[in-house]
Amino acid sequence: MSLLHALLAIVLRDAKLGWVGGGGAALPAAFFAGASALAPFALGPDPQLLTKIGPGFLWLALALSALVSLERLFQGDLEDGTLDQLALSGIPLTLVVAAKVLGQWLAAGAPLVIISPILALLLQIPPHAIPALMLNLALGGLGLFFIGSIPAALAAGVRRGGLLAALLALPLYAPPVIFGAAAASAAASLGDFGGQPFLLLCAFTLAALATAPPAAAAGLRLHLS
Amino acid sequence: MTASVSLKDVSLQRGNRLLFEGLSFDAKEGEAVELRGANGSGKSSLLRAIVGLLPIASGAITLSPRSVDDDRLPTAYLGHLDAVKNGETVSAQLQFWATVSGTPGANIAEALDRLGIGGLANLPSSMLSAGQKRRLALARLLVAPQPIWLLDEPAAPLDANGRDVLAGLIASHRRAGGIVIAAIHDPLPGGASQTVDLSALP
Repeated sequence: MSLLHALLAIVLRDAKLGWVGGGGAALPAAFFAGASALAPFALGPDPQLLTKIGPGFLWLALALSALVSLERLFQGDLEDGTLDQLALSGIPLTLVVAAKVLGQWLAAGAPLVIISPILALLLQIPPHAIPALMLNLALGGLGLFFIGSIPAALAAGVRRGGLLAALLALPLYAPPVIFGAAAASAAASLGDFGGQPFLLLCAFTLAALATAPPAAAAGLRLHLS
Repeated sequence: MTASVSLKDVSLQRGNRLLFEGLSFDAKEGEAVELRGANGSGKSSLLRAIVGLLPIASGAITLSPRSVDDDRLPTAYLGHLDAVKNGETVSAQLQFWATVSGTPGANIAEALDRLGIGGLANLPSSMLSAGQKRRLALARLLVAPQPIWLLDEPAAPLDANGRDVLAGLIASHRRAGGIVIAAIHDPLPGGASQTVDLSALP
């Protein structure tokens, strides 16, 4: 019970510090909104073209926004000694990592989902597809943040680690982008949840939730010793 | 079970460089150990090794009391980093560490008062000076009590009053049967029961 209490405290603290502590959670949201809002200007105003590539474009913006926020996941905590204290708190480091990633997603990932309906309308995605699209972006974003925690942990403590983390994350991001964009396109044209690609996206996110925290925790231990 | 720390023939290595070898000492309840040594002699590394963040090259470190079903060591570690976040108020910060350490009901206001920063409870941590941040870090020792304290240069940013406060904390911790191991250049505020000089080792 006190373990759950402690984990919840970590989730909420990281979500809060993302906005007030110079955590920079606004940057991914601004990036996502900016890229999606500029897309109609870059691609031309043809509604049919936008409907066709809009969902894929949203996924591209989602993946890059997630990439932008990777560097902040562990770097600050490593530099100011917070990670030492968390590692010594008696909470397994794997659970600490999971709580931190969830907090980061609440700060930097959930806002993307909240503003996505407006961007979907700009990209000529039919309104009836928006609930499915939001679910798609929420689950996909969660998967991207969790799988991204592995490169973030490896690159924390390295100077300009953000670039290294981004390079390491790119190949890990390919599968969810394929599944997620396909599901979003299917949702936009057919109006359901996106069928098989959506199920594959769910499977990817579940696998990331299960495997990323222990791997990232192992990476962090290297930097603590 | 009473608190004790026992090091036997401990050697520490960083990369290919041997920091020291053959370090042995025992500390029983109520004792305070000063770790001395030149810069780079391995004082900070030894503290990190005792709490398990750093592997030792050889030897044995035994800490007690230790419950079998629990991964938690009976230690509280205060490194040279204060782990203070700028975006939070002083009291929210301390409450967070109390909750994470499994003592969410700890008396936050009393701990801040004892460190002389009770009046800063509602200030954002970004307004604190280096000494005040260290006091906040020391307050963690009170809200998440552990029998063995490992302190890395605890007095460095503190003023004269801060050193008195630190001496008081250490004295009451020792009276309660606790152990303090501190890496420090100046004499430990309040005095130590033994001094270990790492520079004297091979």
